[in-house]
Amino acid sequence: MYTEKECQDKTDEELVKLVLVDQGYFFCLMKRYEKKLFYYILRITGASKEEAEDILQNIFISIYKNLNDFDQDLKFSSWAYRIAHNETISNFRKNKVRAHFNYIPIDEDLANRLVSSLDIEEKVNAKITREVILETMKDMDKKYREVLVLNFFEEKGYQEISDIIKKPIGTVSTLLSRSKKILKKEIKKRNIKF
Amino acid sequence: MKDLSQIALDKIKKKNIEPCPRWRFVLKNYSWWLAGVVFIFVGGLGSSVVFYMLINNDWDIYQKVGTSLISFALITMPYFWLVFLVLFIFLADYYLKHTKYGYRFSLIKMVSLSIFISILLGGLFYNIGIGEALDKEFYKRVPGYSNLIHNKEKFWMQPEKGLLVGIILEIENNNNFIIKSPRDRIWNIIGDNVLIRRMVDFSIGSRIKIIGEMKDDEVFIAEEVRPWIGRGNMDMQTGGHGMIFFNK
Repeated sequence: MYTEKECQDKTDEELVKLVLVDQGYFFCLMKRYEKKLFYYILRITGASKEEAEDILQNIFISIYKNLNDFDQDLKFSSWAYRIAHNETISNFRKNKVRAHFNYIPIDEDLANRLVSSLDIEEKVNAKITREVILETMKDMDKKYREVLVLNFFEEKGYQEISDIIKKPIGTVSTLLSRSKKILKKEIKKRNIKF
Repeated sequence: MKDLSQIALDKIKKKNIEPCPRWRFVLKNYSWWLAGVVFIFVGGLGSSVVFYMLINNDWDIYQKVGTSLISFALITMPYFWLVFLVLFIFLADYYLKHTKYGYRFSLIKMVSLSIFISILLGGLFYNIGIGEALDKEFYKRVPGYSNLIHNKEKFWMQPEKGLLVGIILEIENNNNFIIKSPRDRIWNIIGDNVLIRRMVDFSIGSRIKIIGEMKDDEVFIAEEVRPWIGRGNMDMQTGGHGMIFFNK
């Protein structure tokens, strides 16, 4: 097994080639994506930490099994997120886990960044922002939530999101626009009350 | 948080999990491509029959019955084959979307491309006679096909407007023969220099269309006889093509 230090100068794509020769390199690859994918699972499903850990293990095993399907024309990150996305949704449907949405890590900076992208003219009450985002995401249709999470929380561009959820860029753009509208409407509604 | 990477790696080692071989993914991708291409090809076959039926439709006689061109088109449109074409185009779209980068194309782009290729293929297949051959095969072998696709029988059974359809029972000569129309009505067909189109199978048992004038409930004066399918080659100008039979 190789440590992260030993792998630090290698790109994801190089690591994939190495893993196919030496399984030990897979540890490095997993370590790079462990935290990111863990929070990603929490954000799109609202599952508990324990459930997310189980799902993440399945994701890593699935990534390992499908390594020969990785196409160097895609970014490894997009491909890994795609597997994570598919595995998470499938697991969520199978187990019909109730979404908690209590564990979504949204810090103040992230919340403010999201709000500022919505072009809300009025001054937004900072106290309600995080609460509104969580509440709205909990009630949002999955198809809107997943693009919102990928764009704002995972900082993925339109092409990457298209590659992850396997939909055309036009569709991604429409979904993102609608998800922002939903969020904007909720924030404005809550903000008026304060 | 637990060391999930370590746990996952231990599981992989314990269960001897291996990466799936590359050929499986390549085969899967090619299978999606093949299915998509096959459905476009079949769509092309369907569209060749549509071409055949539209080109050989009796567009010249709609005015005879006082109907508009649009009404006539709606009555005689080959709906079965159009539905067939649409179905196969959507099937092609479904399979092509599952190929490696198929998801990048919107539904509109994919369907438009499939329609375009199917029509192109349809034109090609029509030109080599596949449209006609398919229509005839379906007519011969598929029960109910003629009722489904050729509802123009109703259109052609308007003897009071000079249109008649039926099966030949007896032939004296080209100007004198007997037919049986739908609902077992017997008609004496008479005429003077009756124009029998080239593609007409003028023999007992053959189904034909007749343009002319109804004399009474049993007698029809024929001007022109056409095959049941098509116009029987309207082009009489090309050398060696149009053989017109007079007073045989």
